[in-house]
Amino acid sequence: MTEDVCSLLRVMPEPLRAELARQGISESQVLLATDSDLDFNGNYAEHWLVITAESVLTFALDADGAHAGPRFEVKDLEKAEADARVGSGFVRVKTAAGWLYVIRFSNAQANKFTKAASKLRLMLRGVPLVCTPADDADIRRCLKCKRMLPEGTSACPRCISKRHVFGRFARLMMPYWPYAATAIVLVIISIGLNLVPPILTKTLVDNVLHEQAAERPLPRWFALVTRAFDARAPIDWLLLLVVILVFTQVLQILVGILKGRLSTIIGNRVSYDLRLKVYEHLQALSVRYYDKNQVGSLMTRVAHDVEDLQGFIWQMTSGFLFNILIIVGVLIVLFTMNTHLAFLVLIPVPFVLGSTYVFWHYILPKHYRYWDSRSKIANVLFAALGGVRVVKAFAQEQREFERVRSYCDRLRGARLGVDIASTTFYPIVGFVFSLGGLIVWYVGGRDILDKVEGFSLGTLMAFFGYLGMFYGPLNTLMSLSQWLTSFTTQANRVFEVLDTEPEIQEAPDAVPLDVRGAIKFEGVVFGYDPYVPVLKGIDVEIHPGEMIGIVGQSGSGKTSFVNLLCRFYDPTEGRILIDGVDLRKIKLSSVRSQIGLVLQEAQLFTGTIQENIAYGRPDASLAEIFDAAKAANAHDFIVRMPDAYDTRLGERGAGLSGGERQRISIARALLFNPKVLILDEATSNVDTVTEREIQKALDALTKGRTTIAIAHRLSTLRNADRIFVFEEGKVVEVGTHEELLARDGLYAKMVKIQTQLTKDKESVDDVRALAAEESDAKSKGQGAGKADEKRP
Amino acid sequence: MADKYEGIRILGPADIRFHYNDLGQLRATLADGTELDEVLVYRTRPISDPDRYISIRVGATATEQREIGLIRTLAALGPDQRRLLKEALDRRYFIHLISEIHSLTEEFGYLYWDCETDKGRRQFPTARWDQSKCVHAGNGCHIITDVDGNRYQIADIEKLDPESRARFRRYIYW
Repeated sequence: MTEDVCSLLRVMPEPLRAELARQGISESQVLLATDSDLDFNGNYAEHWLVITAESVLTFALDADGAHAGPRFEVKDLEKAEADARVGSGFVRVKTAAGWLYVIRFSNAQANKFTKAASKLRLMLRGVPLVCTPADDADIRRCLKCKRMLPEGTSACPRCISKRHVFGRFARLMMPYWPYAATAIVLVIISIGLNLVPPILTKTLVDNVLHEQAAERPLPRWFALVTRAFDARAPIDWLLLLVVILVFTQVLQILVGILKGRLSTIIGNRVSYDLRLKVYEHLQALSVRYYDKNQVGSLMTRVAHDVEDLQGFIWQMTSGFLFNILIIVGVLIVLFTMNTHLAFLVLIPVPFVLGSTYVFWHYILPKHYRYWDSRSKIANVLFAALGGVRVVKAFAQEQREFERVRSYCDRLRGARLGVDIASTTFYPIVGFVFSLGGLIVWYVGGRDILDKVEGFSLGTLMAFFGYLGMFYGPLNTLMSLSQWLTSFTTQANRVFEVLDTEPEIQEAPDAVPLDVRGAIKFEGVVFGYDPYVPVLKGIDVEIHPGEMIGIVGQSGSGKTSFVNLLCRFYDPTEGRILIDGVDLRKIKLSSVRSQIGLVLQEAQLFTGTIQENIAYGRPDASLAEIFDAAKAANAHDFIVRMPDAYDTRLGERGAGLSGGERQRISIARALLFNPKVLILDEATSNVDTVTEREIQKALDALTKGRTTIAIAHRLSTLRNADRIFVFEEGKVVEVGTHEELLARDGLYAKMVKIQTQLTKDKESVDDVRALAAEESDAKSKGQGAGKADEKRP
Repeated sequence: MADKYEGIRILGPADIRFHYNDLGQLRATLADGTELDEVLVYRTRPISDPDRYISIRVGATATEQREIGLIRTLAALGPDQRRLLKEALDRRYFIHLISEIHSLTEEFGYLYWDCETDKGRRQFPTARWDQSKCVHAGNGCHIITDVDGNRYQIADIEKLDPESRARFRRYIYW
């Protein structure tokens, strides 16, 4: 090996290789070799972890060579894991003597050693240990330059090709190219118009207002104009020039209006197209994409980033492109008028650029401090005044006063900092900007006094005119690189969404399936991060029509279990069968249209209650909607509302209580009539009375379908045919409520705890007793038959 | 009130003895002779008062863990016992004490630090705008967390040299 295979299989330094050879280990036996940065005592030092099929070895490397550290034989190991601590971590292994520590690493290496520990753990389970470059993926850093990427993007602002981004953006404008071309022509015209007035001033001063005006030869263009209008006396020329000035200015305004209109038209159309494209694509992406990207950040892309890209067009027509062109234009004119003086005008340029630098690095940061103090003082006041009852009750007025005072101090200090800096900075900058003018006054004035050939008072005035158009744009150009960077990253954030392929792909030979509801998990292993399995080997079978209750601590894998069933994710290992067909071979639309989902937080959408109930089946008849609402125990409260089924709900169902929202979402699921129903803690957010109401609604919903209910309150599971108890990613107990109680295991323990906690009728036994009475009265024969056919 | 709630247990020097076994694991014997395997040691106030109120715990996983008691101050222990606990604490807490900031620059939303620390000169990036990554812990003490989760502490910003302080203040304004 002359090159690292990956960070987990690195080229070992010579002393380490020698030490390994001395221990009789050849390089070909090494499966994993990587370096850590800490010794056990937390000092920075080079340590190596080497794993072969037989042993786990560690070495300390220093100037004297490699020294063997702790060594473990693979056959003695039961488990391996990374033990994260504060600021650093250890790889540790479990042996008969308990946990032993292998190597320590700082958090900079945590990613690598978590993977190493995970690979070792898998090796202990019989999975061959292989390290590949794919293990190195660190999504936070640029692959090329290893720099941190800005939050929420995989495009490195340093490494992305700006030309590529511009090219791509330009292609988006293709449909509007006639507009774009016109806009660019208008930009050039408007720059030309900008350059005209100083030339007119020059003629005005030299040929009209000058004492010997009549004797001086007119510039060729003006001679032509005067002849055309038959103007002979300077007084006519004056009128003519002023009229031309007015004309240029009106033209400038007209061109400006046209240019502005065109650029908004193009900008808005492009961002409209782009926004719809991005949203459409986002919807197609798999749920895993939403795990990696926060909804807020995705919303920013659709709502703001796209909008900000409009700025691109503005920058072209009025911003940077415009400024660059005007600087070039002004320079050309200045140099043709008087090369010597034009050079002198450039002298203050470094100072102008310097002042911009000072602004960005020293003046602006002071504003951050001020803005921050101002917003914090608002928070402090809100907390103190909003919590005034608590403050008074604990008699802490003095302390709150001190707290507010300390924030007022900060605000005063920050504001002083800003004001002192500004009152110093701006006058100096003003002086720097006027430097050019002073140079022109002196040098140009001397040339006039010396009667230098070709230099007149008019030229001097024109110079002043152009100077005003020169330093300003130069100043704005300093933020060009900043704008470029933010534009390319924003554009990339948007393009990135468009370039992401949905992870869950339909197999080309996927078939539609009319689901009966038999579900089978075969050796299913799954982790949101493949190195950290959440489900560690699930083998269960669920029969059609059966109601399964799932209990377990948070993080035990309950929700992951149903996520896999909805095929929001694919398992890392193993497979899931529905009616004997691999889930991956069934058409996605066919899976999802037959699985109903009732979540802990009922997600309702803006619209009427009727529209919400019919969300999954917009074609449902009114009678069906009423039936579903009735069965979901929602009809009565809906009818009592002033607008009944026409009640418009706000965002996320605002305007209804939690229990009401939940019952509407149950009605929605009922109407959808799924073959498999998943209830994910459907009643955990409501009080006991509401829970009963919802429970009644659920009874209607679960009848005759395969139901999987995750429950926090065990009382929800009173009707379950079987209960799966999850612990640390495994199903540890399966059975009926009675069987599990009799077993006196984890489930029995959980029931005991809940019974102690809730001394009212919430314990499973009590509720079951209650339910038994109820269901006895309702449907005797059906219940008995169902139980027979369902139990395995 | 019927009965007082159960409070924490304070362990005096006579209540517990720590020792290593031959595999290097930290163990302890309580005054009543109970043997504790794989003892874990935590600070209750790692920033404001690191050497007092040390929590002594057992249990290999988070769910199994329970507290045996608190040691009021390390200073009350004999030198060898103190050394054992210090070593255990050093293995749990890994923090760099910053003594000088050589440079602090911003690029694309990250701050790049170059600092002198008690563990040598370190360079590391932190998220620029995330105030939770550089927390003022009171009395001028700042805790900085870099993008990898490594921790750095400035004991008192007022006691750093003026150049370091100015570099710090330019970006950390909260």
